[in-house]
Amino acid sequence: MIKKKTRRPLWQIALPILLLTAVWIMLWDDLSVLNILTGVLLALFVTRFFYLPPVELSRRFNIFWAAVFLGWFTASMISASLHVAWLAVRPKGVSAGSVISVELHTRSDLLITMVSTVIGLIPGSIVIEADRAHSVIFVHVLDCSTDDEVEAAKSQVYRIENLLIRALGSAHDITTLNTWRKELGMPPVLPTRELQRKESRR
Amino acid sequence: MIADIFSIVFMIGGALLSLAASIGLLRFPDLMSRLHAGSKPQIFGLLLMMLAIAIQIPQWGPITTVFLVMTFQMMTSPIGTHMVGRAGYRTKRLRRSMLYQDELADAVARAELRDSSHRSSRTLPKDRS
Amino acid sequence: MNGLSDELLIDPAILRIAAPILLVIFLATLVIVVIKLIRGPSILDRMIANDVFLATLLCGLGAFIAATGRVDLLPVLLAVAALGFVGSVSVSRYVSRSDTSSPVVGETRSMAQAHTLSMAQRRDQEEAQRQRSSRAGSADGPDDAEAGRPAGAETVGPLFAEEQEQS
Repeated sequence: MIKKKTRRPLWQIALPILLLTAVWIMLWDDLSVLNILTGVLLALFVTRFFYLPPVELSRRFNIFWAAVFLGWFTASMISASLHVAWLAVRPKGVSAGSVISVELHTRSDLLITMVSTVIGLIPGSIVIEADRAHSVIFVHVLDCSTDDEVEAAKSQVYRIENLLIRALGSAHDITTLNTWRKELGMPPVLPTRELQRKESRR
Repeated sequence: MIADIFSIVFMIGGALLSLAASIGLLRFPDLMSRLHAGSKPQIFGLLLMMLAIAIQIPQWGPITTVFLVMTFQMMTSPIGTHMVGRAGYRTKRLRRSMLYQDELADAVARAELRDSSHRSSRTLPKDRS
Repeated sequence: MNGLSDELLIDPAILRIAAPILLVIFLATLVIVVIKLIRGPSILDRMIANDVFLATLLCGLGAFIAATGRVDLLPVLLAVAALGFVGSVSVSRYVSRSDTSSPVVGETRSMAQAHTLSMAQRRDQEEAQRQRSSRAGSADGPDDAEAGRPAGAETVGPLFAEEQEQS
């Protein structure tokens, strides 16, 4: 009986080791041969003996949209922090909040986690529950007492997801997103030539 | 001199954001709102402090350590907030009057309804007369 | 900070004004956090106060490092930032069962508003009906007031109305 050993691609083995070595070097504040060597050894040890199930990365990483996402995230965090700080000190105080449910288009674990983390970082929203089976997350929004504000909060979550899918999403996520966008009459997101070819063939 | 003024401004800004966070912690009427106030402005305050450090000590070693501090804080703070929020939603201390729209409760109600109808349809004997 | 005046990175003239301001702000923050730690009605409030305490510690230590250039304190910052969340996570994981209930369907504010709106509508209808009947001069029975109720105004009552008192 021949057991076929599935070889993981090289970049999937090398990426964690590279990142862990970088963290090790940053901790030691010193770029020397000894640090690099010990970093690589420790990274190999950690990934071999404290083995986590591999995260399913999609093969895409779009630098432009990642930069757009980082810029939007920083601006949003600054403005929302100032808004929450103002809510804390203004005499009127804060009014009721609400818990909204948002159905995400992505089905991958990594993207749902990243969307939840970004929601948790931007002041004004917290993920309190997630339904993994249907990719639904429940977000508690601060000071959201009219229907307009509920709609604004939902559209903010969708914008986060949109930017992250454009930066990191797999082809399946992009196809799902495009179907949703076509229903709403928005232009589709077509990052790669392969997807454009598929789209034109349809 | 200019760098000093910038870093002092950043430091005072970070301190004021921490003060705002604690004032919000005291003033907000509801557990979930206090959770928002207590964790969110602090992240931006910490970012300002780290910028002040980076301006004052522009060497590679401290800058990378400061970058790591920021990364760790931004990775762990949403986890803590989510766990406390999840536990806080389920306690008796959740004030329903402070919630304008609660779609999680609707989803739970729907699930419970489905569950109970499922269970009752299974236990009732089929009337074939 | 007076004993380290030869190691200050920031111009001492600026620091003479800024340092008391910073100290007062941090002191006020910590006093409020300790008040919340003592007073907080539930344990989760105290864990949030704990988080705020640690984050304020990070900010204060960061300000000190920026002012005096003591880079050897940076690992403290790193340790607190990386491990400070474990306390609140572990406590919220084991919040005692007596404190919890399954999320019940209570009356949220939009439902309450719909309720009061339908009640107000019904009251207006009854008022109009009563005025019309008194103008006509005949004593109409309550069935006219019943017919006056608008067809779709179903009163939305709470399913399990559990009134949460604020302690």
